[in-house]
Amino acid sequence: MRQIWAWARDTLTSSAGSAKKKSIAGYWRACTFERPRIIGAGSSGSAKRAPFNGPFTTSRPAARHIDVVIKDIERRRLANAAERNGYGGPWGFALALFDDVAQLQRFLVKGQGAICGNLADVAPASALGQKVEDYLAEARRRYLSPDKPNRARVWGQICKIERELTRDCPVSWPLDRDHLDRMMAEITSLIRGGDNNLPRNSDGLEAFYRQFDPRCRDQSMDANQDDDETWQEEKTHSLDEINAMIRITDIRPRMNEAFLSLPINLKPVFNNFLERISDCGAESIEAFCARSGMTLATYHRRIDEAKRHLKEALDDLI
Amino acid sequence: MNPNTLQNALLVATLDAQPWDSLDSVPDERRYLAALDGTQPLSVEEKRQLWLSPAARVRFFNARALRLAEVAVAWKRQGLQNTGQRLAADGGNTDIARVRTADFTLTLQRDDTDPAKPEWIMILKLEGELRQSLENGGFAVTVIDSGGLEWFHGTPDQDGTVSTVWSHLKSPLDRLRDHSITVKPC
Repeated sequence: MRQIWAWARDTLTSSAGSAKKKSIAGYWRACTFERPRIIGAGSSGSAKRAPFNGPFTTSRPAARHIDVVIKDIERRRLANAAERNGYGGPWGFALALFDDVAQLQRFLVKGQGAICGNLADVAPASALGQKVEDYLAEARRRYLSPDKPNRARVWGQICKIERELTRDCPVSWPLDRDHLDRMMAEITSLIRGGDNNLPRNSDGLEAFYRQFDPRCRDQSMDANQDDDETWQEEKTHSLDEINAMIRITDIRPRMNEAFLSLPINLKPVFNNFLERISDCGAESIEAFCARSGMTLATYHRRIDEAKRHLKEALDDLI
Repeated sequence: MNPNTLQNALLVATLDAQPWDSLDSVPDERRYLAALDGTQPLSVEEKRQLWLSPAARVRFFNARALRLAEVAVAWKRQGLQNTGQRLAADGGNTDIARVRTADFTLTLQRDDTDPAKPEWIMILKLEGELRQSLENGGFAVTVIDSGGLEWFHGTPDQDGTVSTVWSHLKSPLDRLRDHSITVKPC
């Protein structure tokens, strides 16, 4: 997780401005190949730059090949559990792509004939490097589009990918899962809370996550995790899920009993409360109070009473 | 509003407010798989933990997703007919329609009790193996047409029946003209 975190941070950093040189693309150039883009010396003896191929699109044969290579890495990850563990679990694919440059290089060099069309071509490795740069640039563009530069979009995308990859892997990688869950919880709570300080550019985004990362790590490493509300889970359970839990725990009769034993003066108020939280177009509190000739204070007091009553009735189970 | 829906809303709100705990202290998926299979029912303490621990629920829902996928594969392997179309023989009638296979029957009945607001009542009756596998796993069922629209979902009762009212704008008969119907576990 830390590795992929470093990747994510570097990815964000690299798009923050040209002064930040620790980009993946820069790292790629520094570690993997000789300086790319120089496709050879012409008759005049001067090197010329390769034409910029534009963003990564699968319509280009070379880009398609990169895509195949990446998928190949992913297949390897899935096929080899040991390797998967070695690379840090479900992010193995991403780590292989972004962190283990040597491995990626091996794959790409192996496929360079297909990319350049001719192995005798002037600088196939440079062309490969260019392709990967394009790919990474496109990934950054996708995640940090200037028109929607907010962290929810960026991290929502990243977490969505992660969740797809880790769906079957929650046992072995609790730290990863905790980290992502907390990250998502924080994002969700801020957005739901109407936070107007969402970063509007990549610098702001970077600053936010630089703050977030150490906090989350400290939290994860702390064996005595308390109920710090900062990390409160903001998951919404679907009704299907709730029904599945009701079935397996057989709680419905107890719930019915608890609801039926609500004092009659609490029932309408509590029903209004439940209709509001179930988001089904319920009457507003003010309208309900006006219709029932009830003050706001009474409304809230009765809801508290009803909650207390239900808590007592179901205390041994929930 | 249905009291169960209100109870569920309360449970959703209660569960959503719980703080995240740790996966280290909850049973693994195998435990929940055994419970879903009915071979090892949950103890009172485990049921309580499921309601109190978001981490336990993550494990439980993972196990459930796995079982659901297995049920879908088993249906396919057994050749159960969980997809069907309205047949020409059923056509013509504008008040009632049926989609029937060997393993389920979906009946649509037009209800004109309120002529200003006619409704379509839908009754799904599950049969044989299909019904049995849902019962064994304690799964609900969802009905989707080939256009991707979910018609409804619900838990079959003791007779393997789910009934509800059509809630979409377009008439179900129009949908049946163009689409087949698939029953899936959920």
